[in-house]
Amino acid sequence: MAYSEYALNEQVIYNVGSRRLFAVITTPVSSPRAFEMTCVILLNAGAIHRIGPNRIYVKLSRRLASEGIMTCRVDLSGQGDSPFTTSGSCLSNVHLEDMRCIMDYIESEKAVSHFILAGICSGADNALCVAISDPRVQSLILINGGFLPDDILKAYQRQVQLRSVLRYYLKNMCYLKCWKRFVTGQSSHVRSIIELWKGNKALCSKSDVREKPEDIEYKWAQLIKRKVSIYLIFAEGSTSLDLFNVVFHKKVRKLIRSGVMVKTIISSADHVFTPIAKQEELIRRIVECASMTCMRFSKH
Amino acid sequence: MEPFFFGNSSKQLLGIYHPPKHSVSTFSGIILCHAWGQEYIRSYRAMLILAEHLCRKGFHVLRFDYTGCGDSSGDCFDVTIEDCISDISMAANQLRDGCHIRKIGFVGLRLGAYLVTQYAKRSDIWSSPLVLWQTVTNGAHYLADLTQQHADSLSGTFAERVLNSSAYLEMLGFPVSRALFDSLSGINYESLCPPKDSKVLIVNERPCHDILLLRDLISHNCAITDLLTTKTGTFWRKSNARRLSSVPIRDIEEIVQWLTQNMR
Repeated sequence: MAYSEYALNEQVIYNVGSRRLFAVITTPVSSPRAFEMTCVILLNAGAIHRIGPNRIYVKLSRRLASEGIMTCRVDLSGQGDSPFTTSGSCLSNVHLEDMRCIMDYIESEKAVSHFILAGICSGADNALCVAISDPRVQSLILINGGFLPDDILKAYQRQVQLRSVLRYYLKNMCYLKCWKRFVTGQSSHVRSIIELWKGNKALCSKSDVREKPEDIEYKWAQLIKRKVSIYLIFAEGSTSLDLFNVVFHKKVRKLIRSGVMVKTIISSADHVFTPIAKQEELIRRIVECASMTCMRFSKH
Repeated sequence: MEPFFFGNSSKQLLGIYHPPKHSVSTFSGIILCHAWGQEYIRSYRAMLILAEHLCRKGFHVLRFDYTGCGDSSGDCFDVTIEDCISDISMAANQLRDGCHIRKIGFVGLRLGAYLVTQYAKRSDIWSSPLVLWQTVTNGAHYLADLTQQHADSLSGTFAERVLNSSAYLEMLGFPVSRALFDSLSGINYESLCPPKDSKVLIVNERPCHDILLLRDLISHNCAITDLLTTKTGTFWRKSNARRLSSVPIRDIEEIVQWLTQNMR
């Protein structure tokens, strides 16, 4: 069924509590009982406004609504149509306060008590921060998240880039075009590796970083203790997958193996899911994760 | 800023109305017509800043999303040029009726500029100021450029060998139906000529051959034709990955100044 066939029930809001936040709430026409109390909030991916990369968030919202799940796609302060706030605190605190306001609004206006946060790239990072500080968040769907501050990303940049290039050439071993690009010097992978090695002064040492991978692993463990379901989705072509594999070791692997954290890789997809078939696959996967979470709520 | 949905049950468009700063209201309105597809995402901030500048000059401003685009209803798969033109008409009626506007001007960016001229030809908006901002002047080149950008953006990624559907073409993450492709292919500078007595500002990065031909064609017909050459770069392109939120502030200031002079 095409999305346009769904009865659309969307509401646009701009004033949320004390803040000016632009958000679109998609409400299902009817919901199974298990799904009534849940809302999926979609957080901005990078600097892209609330529709998400390639309009994925709009398609996802309407698909979730057709399954009976309410969604809200929001522009956090300074992104899309939401103005910067002049509260004076740092951006991450502003965004935490934004999310608190939006959840308060949905809780009071829509009688929702469970929240699932989902986001691509920086949206995933923000979702993780919000979940740690707000107990109303019951599930996280984190897509291509980096999860680490910029300084630590820089510290691991070489390893990550190298791993990504190796994966690419291993996968495309029999693909002549990619070797032709390699031999003729047109390969962007090789260029990026050379640039990375040349510009080594810009990279910081692993001992200088503010927040270490262990800190993030500890946060994940805390969330799991709180019974928050965590779904990690990676595009095969995203370097965030390499970062995850390089940085997070035993603890996270144990969590994944034990099933409390679920990791999925969408093959042949780039970081922003450019091919439409891959967008569809991502949407299907997110709907599955959200439905599983809703079913879990209904059992409790 | 006042966001709202307008239209009917089968077609619901997102509109964002920017009221004029009350002290300087001009009883004139401006409709902003976005670019399409990936270009729409890349230029979203520029259109927001333009709207804010215009409302500070006393204009009622309405931005809106076409059918199948942004937050509006519908799917990209079955959008046609006709749908988009009818969306502009709905937006113009909404602004005219909702705010008791006497005069409406239009700013169209990229494909939006073409759509504005097509709407102007069919409606009774003679002498309305039209701003054609970085307009598409040649549909075949526009499509070829999008196709090339799409191939470049996937080249060397894990997604480069994903097979496209045969039902539609893919351009930077957005589907283009065969019907839309054919309509877009037919765009040329002659088809952009607005109705007689229009006031037209063409804003372009560099005066390419088609733009000069368009200016000459328009100047034969229209009351005022101005060509503004800018150096702000192709801020709407996906290849400018690090400049997603870049805003061509000089273009915006020139457009606001021109509209202020020509909306009186």
